[in-house]
Amino acid sequence: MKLNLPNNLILLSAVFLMASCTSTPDGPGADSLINKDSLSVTGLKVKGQSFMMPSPMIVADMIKKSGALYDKNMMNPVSNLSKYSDGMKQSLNLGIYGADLGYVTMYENTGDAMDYYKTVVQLGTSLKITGSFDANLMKRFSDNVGKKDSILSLVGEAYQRSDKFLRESEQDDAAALILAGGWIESIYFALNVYKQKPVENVSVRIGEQKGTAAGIVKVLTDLNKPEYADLIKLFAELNDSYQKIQIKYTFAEATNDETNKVTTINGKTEVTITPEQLADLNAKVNAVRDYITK
Amino acid sequence: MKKQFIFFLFLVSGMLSFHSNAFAQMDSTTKLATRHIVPPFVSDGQTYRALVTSGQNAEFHATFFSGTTYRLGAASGSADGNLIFSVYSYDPNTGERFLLFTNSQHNYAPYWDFKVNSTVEIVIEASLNPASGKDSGFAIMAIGFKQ
Repeated sequence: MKLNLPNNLILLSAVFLMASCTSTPDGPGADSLINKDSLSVTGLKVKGQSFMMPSPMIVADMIKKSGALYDKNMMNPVSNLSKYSDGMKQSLNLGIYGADLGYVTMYENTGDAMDYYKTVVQLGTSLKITGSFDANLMKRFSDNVGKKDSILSLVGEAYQRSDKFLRESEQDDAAALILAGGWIESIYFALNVYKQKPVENVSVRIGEQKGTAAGIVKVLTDLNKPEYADLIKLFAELNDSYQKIQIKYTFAEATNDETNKVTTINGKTEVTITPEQLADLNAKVNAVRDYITK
Repeated sequence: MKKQFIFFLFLVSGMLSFHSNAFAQMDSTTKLATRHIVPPFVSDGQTYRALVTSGQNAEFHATFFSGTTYRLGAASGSADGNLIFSVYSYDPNTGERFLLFTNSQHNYAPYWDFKVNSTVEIVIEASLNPASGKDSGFAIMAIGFKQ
Protein backbone atom coordinates (compact mmCIF):
# COMPACT_ATOMS: atom_id res chain seq x y z
CA MET A 1 0.00 0.00 0.00
CA LYS A 2 1.36 3.39 -1.00
CA LEU A 3 1.53 5.99 1.72
CA ASN A 4 -0.23 9.26 1.02
CA LEU A 5 2.42 11.32 2.77
CA PRO A 6 0.83 14.80 2.75
CA ASN A 7 -2.39 13.49 4.31
CA ASN A 8 -0.48 11.37 6.77
CA LEU A 9 1.65 14.35 7.70
CA ILE A 10 -1.44 16.42 8.47
CA LEU A 11 -2.90 13.59 10.50
CA LEU A 12 0.34 12.92 12.33
CA SER A 13 0.89 16.60 12.98
CA ALA A 14 -2.55 16.77 14.57
CA VAL A 15 -1.84 13.67 16.66
CA PHE A 16 1.56 15.04 17.62
CA LEU A 17 0.01 18.31 18.74
CA MET A 18 -2.55 16.40 20.77
CA ALA A 19 0.24 14.38 22.35
CA SER A 20 2.14 17.56 23.11
CA CYS A 21 -0.91 19.03 24.75
CA THR A 22 -1.41 16.12 27.04
CA SER A 23 1.66 14.12 27.80
CA THR A 24 4.19 16.04 29.83
CA PRO A 25 2.39 17.80 32.61
CA ASP A 26 5.48 17.99 34.77
CA GLY A 27 7.64 19.43 32.03
CA PRO A 28 8.62 23.06 31.79
CA GLY A 29 5.90 25.37 30.60
CA ALA A 30 3.42 22.52 30.59
CA ASP A 31 0.60 24.64 31.97
CA SER A 32 0.02 26.37 28.67
CA LEU A 33 -0.25 23.07 26.84
CA ILE A 34 -2.53 21.08 29.06
CA ASN A 35 -5.87 19.97 27.77
CA LYS A 36 -7.64 19.39 31.07
CA ASP A 37 -9.73 16.38 30.10
CA SER A 38 -7.71 14.58 27.52
CA LEU A 39 -5.18 12.59 29.50
CA SER A 40 -6.65 12.12 32.91
CA VAL A 41 -5.22 8.64 33.37
CA THR A 42 -7.46 7.82 36.27
CA GLY A 43 -8.56 4.76 38.11
CA LEU A 44 -12.08 3.85 37.06
CA LYS A 45 -13.59 7.15 36.12
CA VAL A 46 -17.17 7.96 37.02
CA LYS A 47 -18.38 11.35 35.91
CA GLY A 48 -14.93 12.85 36.27
CA GLN A 49 -14.26 11.16 39.60
CA SER A 50 -11.94 8.29 40.20
CA PHE A 51 -13.63 5.31 41.72
CA MET A 52 -11.69 2.93 43.93
CA MET A 53 -13.03 -0.57 43.95
CA PRO A 54 -12.31 -2.59 47.08
CA SER A 55 -9.51 -5.05 46.53
CA PRO A 56 -10.65 -8.69 46.61
CA MET A 57 -7.88 -9.25 49.13
CA ILE A 58 -9.51 -6.87 51.60
CA VAL A 59 -12.76 -8.86 51.40
CA ALA A 60 -10.83 -12.16 51.63
CA ASP A 61 -9.13 -10.81 54.74
CA MET A 62 -12.51 -9.91 56.23
CA ILE A 63 -13.83 -13.43 55.49
CA LYS A 64 -10.84 -15.03 57.16
CA LYS A 65 -11.26 -12.79 60.22
CA SER A 66 -14.94 -13.79 60.45
CA GLY A 67 -13.76 -17.27 61.44
CA ALA A 68 -15.32 -18.98 58.41
CA LEU A 69 -13.66 -22.20 57.31
CA TYR A 70 -11.85 -22.60 53.98
CA ASP A 71 -14.24 -23.93 51.33
CA LYS A 72 -12.71 -24.84 47.97
CA ASN A 73 -16.18 -25.33 46.44
CA MET A 74 -16.85 -21.59 46.67
CA MET A 75 -14.22 -20.85 44.04
CA ASN A 76 -14.55 -21.03 40.27
CA PRO A 77 -12.87 -24.35 39.33
CA VAL A 78 -9.64 -23.89 37.37
CA SER A 79 -10.99 -26.46 34.90
CA ASN A 80 -13.47 -23.81 33.69
CA LEU A 81 -10.63 -21.82 32.15
CA SER A 82 -11.03 -23.39 28.69
CA LYS A 83 -14.58 -21.98 28.47
CA TYR A 84 -13.41 -18.39 28.27
CA SER A 85 -12.37 -17.53 24.74
CA ASP A 86 -13.44 -13.91 24.23
CA GLY A 87 -11.77 -10.86 25.77
CA MET A 88 -14.77 -9.85 27.89
CA LYS A 89 -15.13 -13.26 29.56
CA GLN A 90 -11.37 -13.59 29.96
CA SER A 91 -11.13 -10.19 31.67
CA LEU A 92 -14.10 -10.85 33.96
CA ASN A 93 -12.76 -14.27 34.90
CA LEU A 94 -9.28 -12.91 35.49
CA GLY A 95 -10.99 -10.84 38.19
CA ILE A 96 -12.84 -13.91 39.48
CA TYR A 97 -9.69 -16.06 39.59
CA GLY A 98 -7.72 -13.17 41.08
CA ALA A 99 -10.22 -13.00 43.96
CA ASP A 100 -9.99 -16.81 44.29
CA LEU A 101 -6.21 -16.48 44.49
CA GLY A 102 -6.58 -13.82 47.20
CA TYR A 103 -8.90 -16.18 49.09
CA VAL A 104 -6.63 -19.27 48.96
CA THR A 105 -3.67 -17.11 49.88
CA MET A 106 -5.42 -15.78 52.97
CA TYR A 107 -6.14 -19.34 54.03
CA GLU A 108 -2.57 -20.40 53.24
CA ASN A 109 -3.67 -23.33 51.10
CA THR A 110 -0.45 -23.70 49.14
CA GLY A 111 -1.53 -26.41 46.67
CA ASP A 112 -4.62 -24.53 45.55
CA ALA A 113 -2.70 -21.25 45.56
CA MET A 114 -0.30 -22.61 42.92
CA ASP A 115 -3.18 -23.87 40.73
CA TYR A 116 -4.96 -20.53 40.89
CA TYR A 117 -1.77 -18.58 40.33
CA LYS A 118 -1.07 -20.63 37.17
CA THR A 119 -4.64 -20.00 35.99
CA VAL A 120 -4.29 -16.27 36.55
CA VAL A 121 -0.99 -16.33 34.63
CA GLN A 122 -2.62 -18.20 31.71
CA LEU A 123 -5.49 -15.73 31.51
CA GLY A 124 -3.10 -12.81 31.82
CA THR A 125 -1.07 -14.24 28.93
CA SER A 126 -4.23 -14.70 26.81
CA LEU A 127 -5.08 -11.05 27.47
CA LYS A 128 -1.47 -10.14 26.57
CA ILE A 129 -0.81 -8.67 30.01
CA THR A 130 2.64 -10.10 29.44
CA GLY A 131 4.85 -8.02 31.70
CA SER A 132 2.62 -8.58 34.71
CA PHE A 133 3.26 -12.26 35.11
CA ASP A 134 6.82 -12.75 33.97
CA ALA A 135 9.05 -15.73 34.74
CA ASN A 136 10.75 -13.88 37.57
CA LEU A 137 7.45 -13.19 39.38
CA MET A 138 6.40 -16.81 38.80
CA LYS A 139 9.67 -18.04 40.32
CA ARG A 140 9.30 -15.72 43.32
CA PHE A 141 5.77 -17.05 43.75
CA SER A 142 7.00 -20.68 43.68
CA ASP A 143 9.87 -19.87 46.05
CA ASN A 144 7.53 -18.24 48.56
CA VAL A 145 4.62 -20.68 48.57
CA GLY A 146 3.66 -21.16 52.21
CA LYS A 147 4.78 -17.69 53.26
CA LYS A 148 1.49 -15.83 53.37
CA ASP A 149 2.85 -12.30 53.68
CA SER A 150 5.26 -12.76 50.77
CA ILE A 151 2.59 -14.32 48.57
CA LEU A 152 0.12 -11.54 49.39
CA SER A 153 2.75 -9.00 48.48
CA LEU A 154 3.43 -10.81 45.15
CA VAL A 155 -0.30 -11.04 44.37
CA GLY A 156 -0.55 -7.29 45.04
CA GLU A 157 2.46 -6.68 42.78
CA ALA A 158 0.92 -8.74 39.96
CA TYR A 159 -2.35 -6.78 40.31
CA GLN A 160 -0.48 -3.50 40.26
CA ARG A 161 1.51 -4.46 37.17
CA SER A 162 -1.67 -5.61 35.36
CA ASP A 163 -3.53 -2.44 36.28
CA LYS A 164 -0.62 -0.27 35.12
CA PHE A 165 -0.23 -2.21 31.87
CA LEU A 166 -3.94 -2.05 31.04
CA ARG A 167 -4.16 1.68 31.65
CA GLU A 168 -0.98 2.50 29.75
CA SER A 169 -2.20 0.45 26.81
CA GLU A 170 -5.57 2.23 27.08
CA GLN A 171 -7.45 -0.96 27.89
CA ASP A 172 -9.62 0.67 30.53
CA ASP A 173 -12.48 -1.64 29.65
CA ALA A 174 -10.40 -4.73 30.46
CA ALA A 175 -9.27 -3.11 33.73
CA ALA A 176 -12.90 -2.34 34.66
CA LEU A 177 -14.06 -5.87 33.81
CA ILE A 178 -11.27 -7.44 35.86
CA LEU A 179 -12.20 -5.33 38.88
CA ALA A 180 -15.93 -6.01 38.39
CA GLY A 181 -15.23 -9.76 38.23
CA GLY A 182 -13.10 -9.57 41.37
CA TRP A 183 -15.79 -7.67 43.21
CA ILE A 184 -18.61 -10.07 42.31
CA GLU A 185 -16.51 -13.04 43.46
CA SER A 186 -15.81 -11.27 46.77
CA ILE A 187 -19.51 -10.66 47.40
CA TYR A 188 -20.27 -14.24 46.36
CA PHE A 189 -17.77 -15.43 49.00
CA ALA A 190 -19.25 -13.15 51.65
CA LEU A 191 -22.81 -14.34 50.94
CA ASN A 192 -21.70 -17.98 51.13
CA VAL A 193 -19.83 -17.34 54.35
CA TYR A 194 -23.00 -15.78 55.76
CA LYS A 195 -24.94 -18.98 54.93
CA GLN A 196 -22.25 -20.97 56.73
CA LYS A 197 -21.98 -18.54 59.62
CA PRO A 198 -24.88 -16.08 59.78
CA VAL A 199 -23.22 -13.42 61.91
CA GLU A 200 -24.09 -9.76 61.82
CA ASN A 201 -20.67 -8.42 60.93
CA VAL A 202 -20.66 -10.41 57.67
CA SER A 203 -24.15 -9.27 56.65
CA VAL A 204 -23.22 -5.70 57.50
CA ARG A 205 -20.07 -5.99 55.40
CA ILE A 206 -22.18 -7.23 52.49
CA GLY A 207 -24.57 -4.29 52.89
CA GLU A 208 -21.69 -1.82 53.07
CA GLN A 209 -20.95 -2.57 49.41
CA LYS A 210 -24.00 -0.52 48.38
CA GLY A 211 -21.88 2.38 47.09
CA THR A 212 -19.57 0.04 45.19
CA ALA A 213 -22.53 -1.68 43.49
CA ALA A 214 -23.75 1.66 42.14
CA GLY A 215 -20.21 2.62 41.11
CA ILE A 216 -19.69 -0.56 39.09
CA VAL A 217 -22.88 -0.01 37.09
CA LYS A 218 -21.76 3.56 36.30
CA VAL A 219 -18.27 2.45 35.32
CA LEU A 220 -19.49 -0.36 33.04
CA THR A 221 -22.15 1.89 31.48
CA ASP A 222 -19.55 4.62 30.89
CA LEU A 223 -17.50 2.20 28.78
CA ASN A 224 -20.31 2.45 26.22
CA LYS A 225 -19.83 -1.00 24.72
CA PRO A 226 -23.01 -2.59 23.26
CA GLU A 227 -21.55 -6.07 23.80
CA TYR A 228 -21.61 -5.47 27.59
CA ALA A 229 -25.41 -4.83 27.60
CA ASP A 230 -26.37 -8.20 29.14
CA LEU A 231 -23.66 -7.90 31.78
CA ILE A 232 -24.69 -4.32 32.66
CA LYS A 233 -28.35 -5.39 32.92
CA LEU A 234 -27.43 -8.06 35.47
CA PHE A 235 -25.26 -5.67 37.46
CA ALA A 236 -28.04 -3.04 37.32
CA GLU A 237 -30.53 -5.56 38.76
CA LEU A 238 -28.06 -6.33 41.53
CA ASN A 239 -27.64 -2.60 42.17
CA ASP A 240 -31.44 -2.16 42.38
CA SER A 241 -31.48 -4.73 45.18
CA TYR A 242 -28.55 -3.03 46.87
CA GLN A 243 -30.25 0.37 46.85
CA LYS A 244 -33.04 -1.01 49.08
CA ILE A 245 -30.57 -1.45 51.92
CA GLN A 246 -30.62 1.38 54.47
CA ILE A 247 -27.36 2.97 55.53
CA LYS A 248 -27.16 5.72 58.15
CA TYR A 249 -23.96 7.66 58.72
CA THR A 250 -23.25 9.71 61.85
CA PHE A 251 -20.17 11.90 61.80
CA ALA A 252 -17.80 12.18 64.76
CA GLU A 253 -14.53 14.13 64.86
CA ALA A 254 -11.48 12.12 63.83
CA THR A 255 -8.47 11.94 66.13
CA ASN A 256 -4.95 12.51 64.82
CA ASP A 257 -1.80 10.91 66.20
CA GLU A 258 0.93 13.10 64.75
CA THR A 259 3.80 10.97 66.12
CA ASN A 260 2.66 7.74 64.50
CA LYS A 261 1.04 9.43 61.51
CA VAL A 262 -2.34 7.84 62.17
CA THR A 263 -5.83 9.28 61.98
CA THR A 264 -8.58 7.33 63.69
CA ILE A 265 -11.90 7.69 61.91
CA ASN A 266 -14.61 7.77 64.54
CA GLY A 267 -17.82 8.26 62.55
CA LYS A 268 -20.39 5.49 62.66
CA THR A 269 -22.21 3.76 59.84
CA GLU A 270 -25.28 1.68 60.60
CA VAL A 271 -26.46 -0.81 58.01
CA THR A 272 -29.97 -2.23 58.17
CA ILE A 273 -30.27 -5.34 56.05
CA THR A 274 -33.08 -7.88 56.33
CA PRO A 275 -32.89 -11.64 55.65
CA GLU A 276 -35.16 -11.08 52.64
CA GLN A 277 -32.76 -8.49 51.25
CA LEU A 278 -29.84 -10.89 51.75
CA ALA A 279 -31.76 -13.63 49.92
CA ASP A 280 -32.50 -11.20 47.09
CA LEU A 281 -28.83 -10.16 46.89
CA ASN A 282 -27.82 -13.81 46.87
CA ALA A 283 -30.04 -14.53 43.85
CA LYS A 284 -28.80 -11.47 41.94
CA VAL A 285 -25.11 -12.14 42.70
CA ASN A 286 -25.53 -15.77 41.59
CA ALA A 287 -27.10 -14.56 38.33
CA VAL A 288 -24.16 -12.25 37.58
CA ARG A 289 -21.58 -14.85 38.57
CA ASP A 290 -23.27 -17.59 36.52
CA TYR A 291 -23.25 -15.30 33.49
CA ILE A 292 -19.53 -14.69 33.95
CA THR A 293 -18.32 -18.18 34.81
CA LYS A 294 -20.59 -20.55 32.88
CA MET B 1 9.20 13.53 -1.29
CA LYS B 2 12.32 12.43 0.58
CA LYS B 3 12.13 15.51 2.82
CA GLN B 4 8.50 14.74 3.57
CA PHE B 5 9.41 11.18 4.50
CA ILE B 6 12.17 12.38 6.85
CA PHE B 7 9.71 14.83 8.42
CA PHE B 8 7.21 11.96 8.77
CA LEU B 9 9.83 9.85 10.59
CA PHE B 10 10.74 12.83 12.75
CA LEU B 11 7.11 13.29 13.80
CA VAL B 12 6.64 9.61 14.58
CA SER B 13 9.81 9.46 16.68
CA GLY B 14 8.77 12.70 18.41
CA MET B 15 5.42 11.23 19.33
CA LEU B 16 6.93 8.03 20.63
CA SER B 17 9.48 9.92 22.65
CA PHE B 18 6.82 12.20 24.16
CA HIS B 19 4.65 9.29 25.24
CA SER B 20 7.56 7.28 26.57
CA ASN B 21 8.68 10.36 28.53
CA ALA B 22 5.20 10.78 30.02
CA PHE B 23 5.05 7.14 31.10
CA ALA B 24 8.58 7.31 32.52
CA GLN B 25 7.51 10.32 34.60
CA MET B 26 4.40 8.50 35.78
CA ASP B 27 6.52 5.46 36.64
CA SER B 28 8.86 7.46 38.85
CA THR B 29 5.93 9.26 40.53
CA THR B 30 4.16 5.92 41.05
CA LYS B 31 7.28 4.56 42.75
CA LEU B 32 7.29 7.61 45.00
CA ALA B 33 3.64 7.07 45.97
CA THR B 34 3.96 3.30 46.51
CA ARG B 35 7.26 3.23 48.37
CA HIS B 36 5.52 3.59 51.74
CA ILE B 37 3.19 0.63 51.14
CA VAL B 38 5.50 -1.83 52.85
CA PRO B 39 4.84 -4.70 55.31
CA PRO B 40 2.75 -4.96 57.41
CA PHE B 41 0.78 -3.07 54.74
CA VAL B 42 -0.24 -4.89 51.58
CA SER B 43 -1.07 -2.97 48.41
CA ASP B 44 -4.64 -3.19 47.15
CA GLY B 45 -3.05 -3.79 43.76
CA GLN B 46 -4.03 -0.56 42.09
CA THR B 47 -2.65 2.92 41.67
CA TYR B 48 -5.03 5.80 41.22
CA ARG B 49 -4.06 8.59 38.85
CA ALA B 50 -5.46 11.90 37.77
CA LEU B 51 -4.10 14.84 35.89
CA VAL B 52 -4.41 18.00 37.94
CA THR B 53 -3.66 21.58 37.09
CA SER B 54 -3.01 24.43 39.48
CA GLY B 55 -6.14 25.32 41.44
CA GLN B 56 -7.96 22.11 40.46
CA ASN B 57 -8.80 19.09 42.60
CA ALA B 58 -8.86 15.45 41.58
CA GLU B 59 -11.33 13.31 43.50
CA PHE B 60 -11.04 9.67 44.43
CA HIS B 61 -13.97 7.82 45.98
CA ALA B 62 -13.52 4.73 48.13
CA THR B 63 -15.01 2.71 50.95
CA PHE B 64 -12.84 2.17 54.03
CA PHE B 65 -14.01 -0.91 55.93
CA SER B 66 -14.29 -1.23 59.68
CA GLY B 67 -11.55 -2.99 61.59
CA THR B 68 -8.97 -2.21 58.90
CA THR B 69 -6.05 0.21 59.00
CA TYR B 70 -5.27 1.74 55.63
CA ARG B 71 -2.15 3.51 54.46
CA LEU B 72 -2.47 6.19 51.81
CA GLY B 73 0.62 7.15 49.80
CA ALA B 74 0.46 10.16 47.50
CA ALA B 75 2.84 11.86 45.12
CA SER B 76 3.13 14.22 42.19
CA GLY B 77 6.24 14.92 40.14
CA SER B 78 9.58 13.74 41.45
CA ALA B 79 9.66 14.90 45.08
CA ASP B 80 7.65 14.50 48.27
CA GLY B 81 5.45 17.41 49.29
CA ASN B 82 4.21 18.35 45.81
CA LEU B 83 0.74 17.00 46.49
CA ILE B 84 -1.86 18.10 49.01
CA PHE B 85 -4.31 15.36 49.86
CA SER B 86 -7.37 15.72 52.05
CA VAL B 87 -9.57 12.88 53.25
CA TYR B 88 -13.28 13.42 53.86
CA SER B 89 -15.96 11.10 55.13
CA TYR B 90 -19.08 11.21 53.03
CA ASP B 91 -22.71 10.75 53.97
CA PRO B 92 -24.24 8.82 51.05
CA ASN B 93 -27.74 9.93 52.03
CA THR B 94 -27.14 13.68 52.13
CA GLY B 95 -23.96 14.06 50.08
CA GLU B 96 -22.43 16.02 52.98
CA ARG B 97 -18.64 15.80 53.43
CA PHE B 98 -16.65 16.02 56.67
CA LEU B 99 -12.92 16.74 56.72
CA LEU B 100 -10.99 14.03 58.55
CA PHE B 101 -7.44 14.81 57.57
CA THR B 102 -5.35 17.01 55.30
CA ASN B 103 -1.61 16.59 54.91
CA SER B 104 -1.32 20.38 54.53
CA GLN B 105 -1.71 20.50 58.33
CA HIS B 106 0.94 17.81 58.75
CA ASN B 107 3.96 19.12 56.89
CA TYR B 108 2.68 17.75 53.55
CA ALA B 109 3.36 14.20 54.69
CA PRO B 110 3.66 11.84 51.67
CA TYR B 111 1.77 9.07 53.48
CA TRP B 112 -0.65 8.70 56.36
CA ASP B 113 -2.47 5.84 58.10
CA PHE B 114 -6.21 5.66 58.75
CA LYS B 115 -7.63 3.42 61.43
CA VAL B 116 -11.27 2.70 60.68
CA ASN B 117 -13.66 1.86 63.52
CA SER B 118 -16.81 1.81 61.42
CA THR B 119 -17.08 1.46 57.66
CA VAL B 120 -17.16 4.81 55.96
CA GLU B 121 -17.47 6.22 52.47
CA ILE B 122 -14.40 8.29 51.71
CA VAL B 123 -13.59 11.07 49.28
CA ILE B 124 -9.94 11.93 48.77
CA GLU B 125 -9.21 15.28 47.20
CA ALA B 126 -5.77 15.80 45.68
CA SER B 127 -4.34 19.08 44.44
CA LEU B 128 -0.93 20.49 43.64
CA ASN B 129 0.91 22.22 46.45
CA PRO B 130 1.31 25.85 45.28
CA ALA B 131 4.73 25.84 46.96
CA SER B 132 5.89 23.17 44.51
CA GLY B 133 5.91 25.73 41.73
CA LYS B 134 4.20 23.20 39.44
CA ASP B 135 1.33 24.32 37.26
CA SER B 136 0.23 20.79 36.41
CA GLY B 137 1.09 17.19 37.16
CA PHE B 138 -0.17 13.71 37.78
CA ALA B 139 -1.64 13.05 41.21
CA ILE B 140 -0.89 9.43 42.02
CA MET B 141 -2.36 7.67 45.03
CA ALA B 142 -1.65 4.21 46.38
CA ILE B 143 -3.58 2.37 49.09
CA GLY B 144 -2.42 -0.42 51.33
CA PHE B 145 -4.18 -2.23 54.12
CA LYS B 146 -2.61 -3.59 57.30
CA GLN B 147 -2.32 -7.34 57.70
